[in-house]
Amino acid sequence: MNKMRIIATFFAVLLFLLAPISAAESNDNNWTSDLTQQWNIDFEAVYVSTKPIIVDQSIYVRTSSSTIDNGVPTIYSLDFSGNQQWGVTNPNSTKQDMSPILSVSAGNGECGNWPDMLLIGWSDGLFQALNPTNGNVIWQHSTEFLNWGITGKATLDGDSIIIPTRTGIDKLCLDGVLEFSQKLGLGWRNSPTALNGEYWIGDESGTLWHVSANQSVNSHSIGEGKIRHQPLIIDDDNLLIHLQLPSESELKLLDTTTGELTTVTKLGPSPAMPETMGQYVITADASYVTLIDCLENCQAINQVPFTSNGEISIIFDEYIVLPHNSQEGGYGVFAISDEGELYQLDTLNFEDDWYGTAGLSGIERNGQKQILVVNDNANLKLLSTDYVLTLDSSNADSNWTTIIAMLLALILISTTSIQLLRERFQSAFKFFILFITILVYFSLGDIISAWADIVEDSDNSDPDDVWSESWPDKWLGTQVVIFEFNDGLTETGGYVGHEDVLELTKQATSEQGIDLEISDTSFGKYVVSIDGKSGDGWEYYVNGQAGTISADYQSIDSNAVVVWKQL
Amino acid sequence: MFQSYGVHGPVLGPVAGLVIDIVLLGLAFWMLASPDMKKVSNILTFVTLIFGISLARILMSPLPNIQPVTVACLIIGAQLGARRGVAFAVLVTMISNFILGDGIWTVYQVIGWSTVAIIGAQSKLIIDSKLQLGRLYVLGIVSAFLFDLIASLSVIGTVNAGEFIGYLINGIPYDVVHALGNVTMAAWFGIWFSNVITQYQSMEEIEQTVVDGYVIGS
Repeated sequence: MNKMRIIATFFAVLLFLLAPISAAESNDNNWTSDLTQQWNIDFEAVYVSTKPIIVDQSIYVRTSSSTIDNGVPTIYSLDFSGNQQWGVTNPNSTKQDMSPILSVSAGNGECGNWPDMLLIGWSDGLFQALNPTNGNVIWQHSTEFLNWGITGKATLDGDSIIIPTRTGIDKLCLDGVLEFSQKLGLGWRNSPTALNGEYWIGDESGTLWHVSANQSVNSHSIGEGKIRHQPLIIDDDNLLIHLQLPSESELKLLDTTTGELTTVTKLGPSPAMPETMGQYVITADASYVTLIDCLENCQAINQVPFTSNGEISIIFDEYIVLPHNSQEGGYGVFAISDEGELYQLDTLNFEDDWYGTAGLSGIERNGQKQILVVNDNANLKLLSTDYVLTLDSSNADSNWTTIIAMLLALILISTTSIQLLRERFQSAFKFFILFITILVYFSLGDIISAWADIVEDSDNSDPDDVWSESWPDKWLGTQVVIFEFNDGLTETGGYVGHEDVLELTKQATSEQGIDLEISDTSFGKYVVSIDGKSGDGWEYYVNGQAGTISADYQSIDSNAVVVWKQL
Repeated sequence: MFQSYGVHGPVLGPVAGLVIDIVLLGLAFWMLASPDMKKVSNILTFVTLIFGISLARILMSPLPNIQPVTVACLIIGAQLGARRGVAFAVLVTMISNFILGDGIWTVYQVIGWSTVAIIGAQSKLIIDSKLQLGRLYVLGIVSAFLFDLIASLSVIGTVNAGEFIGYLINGIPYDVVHALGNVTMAAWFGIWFSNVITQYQSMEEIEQTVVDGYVIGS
């Protein structure tokens, strides 16, 4: 009895000590309220469509204007107090200037020498290299003008710069000498990718152009849509392209060696410019922000509802910030959890929020994190915070659960070892078996899913077998959920990134406004009723195969068809 | 299958449920009908054990297939004999299922845990008033698989043979967790639980236990 009391007291004290740590941490998240605005500059009736950049102690931002009456398109240099250092205008560039500013450090290469430069592409086709200190023109180069000139981001490739012209690319040495000019397809906000000395760029008819080192050209048709971003390099020789279609978009992966083109997933309309973050790619569109894991084959992991169509910024190496392109404006701040899941951390809102596609820039200066924010209203703000940014409470809790479990495991295995050394084998066994039980408990979901994958014949499970011709094509390659009520049918699809049947079902019911009642059992989650209807129970099928385990343990592919049947 | 039949099988109608409850209660009281149970202290001890283990089962129900009843049935079967082990199994299952959910599976759980209690009574788990822990671990593992097999039989009639085999195979991780939980509980609480029962056990009861074990065994 005495021993039991000691053991019970030990665990009670352990839980007592650990509980407040977790609770305190869960409140320790405050992104927006801790930001202090240092200054705000209103550039008045112009736009800013691309993010400001920070080089050394200077800020560079470009404004855009469709008419001189509203203001002259200008490149501004500011110091960190918000004072203007210089401004370079281009009164001929009266289309939307959205080509991002590039900074190049002084250097030399086989084709020449160059000083520190800012590289600017204008919508009238002019490409300029400016002195970052005073804005003087170092060299300039004219490219083709066809209603618009340069709209995309130029790409650095060693000692050269590849400029996306209106209908092709120009390759210049960084000293301003033209190496070659190549006509391709009509482009818009497109940008070339340099891969092993060769260049890849998309156009407005869905063609991906390939310009090899000897300037020979070939093309790959990606689809009947538009390519309005820089193709992303995946695994050294694959390119990821977010193809814009009339009412949706598709993420495509091109193997540049074999020419094989695969569809990763279908996504929403008006895509943003995708960004790479380690093994992940972040895409956005008018409906969702989507996390793509490209560690092996690229696949959609999960989505968070959000509207963003412009630049995706990754600041302080871990925060993904997207402009909310709507009248309400603002910015969504996202992060990727330790479990590899995208979640929205916070929202940044300001009094003058408006439509926006420009990204943010972040810098750590003088022990502060500083952020430059700008939107279509052309208000540039510098915000700063001393705050050490932390993950949100739910993920912090999740981390603490892991920490507590690890700590408990450490205590148990240590005690086992101590008891073994003291030759108290029975006691050692007690701690060891408790350790094993807890270990299995925490990994049971994975064990059950893995076991189900082993014992079930996945070859017999094909979504094409249950595909209905009446479903819209945009559901192809996505996750579809069908609810077969005794008195009717509800079909919904177009979902991506859900890993198990229950997660997908929750998303589908939430979007369809259907109530979902779930109960906990020792065998997993049990769906009691859907839309208030329980009948004699509900049974689920994945690609026509009846589910044999709890829906939260049943993993699904990115193109699964899940059918819930009321019995 | 998990979704359509719940954890163990279809839900019963109210009349069928009542009939089963009456039959099970009758079985429990018949098993308890022995002269020594007239002692108030024994009855109180037995009731305490039943409610204690029922409560433990309810509290542990969120944990995946951790079943404190299995090891308790083994030890009570060994300490108090097969009859009281069966009565214990019946009453604990009924009381806890009153909270956790009643259905045809209650019958199969009763059969499963009664079988475990009888095995406990027959397995020489107590030698010289001492619980044989090693033997309890082995029986805990065997009983987990046996009980889960018996409880799974509740879906027969609603699935075909192939589906039933699939159901059993998919359930193996749960069986392993049940077995692990049994060994853990045996290691941590086995001796303590056995001692609690021993403190209230008279020589008469021990003799009765031996007789019960002999009768069931023959």
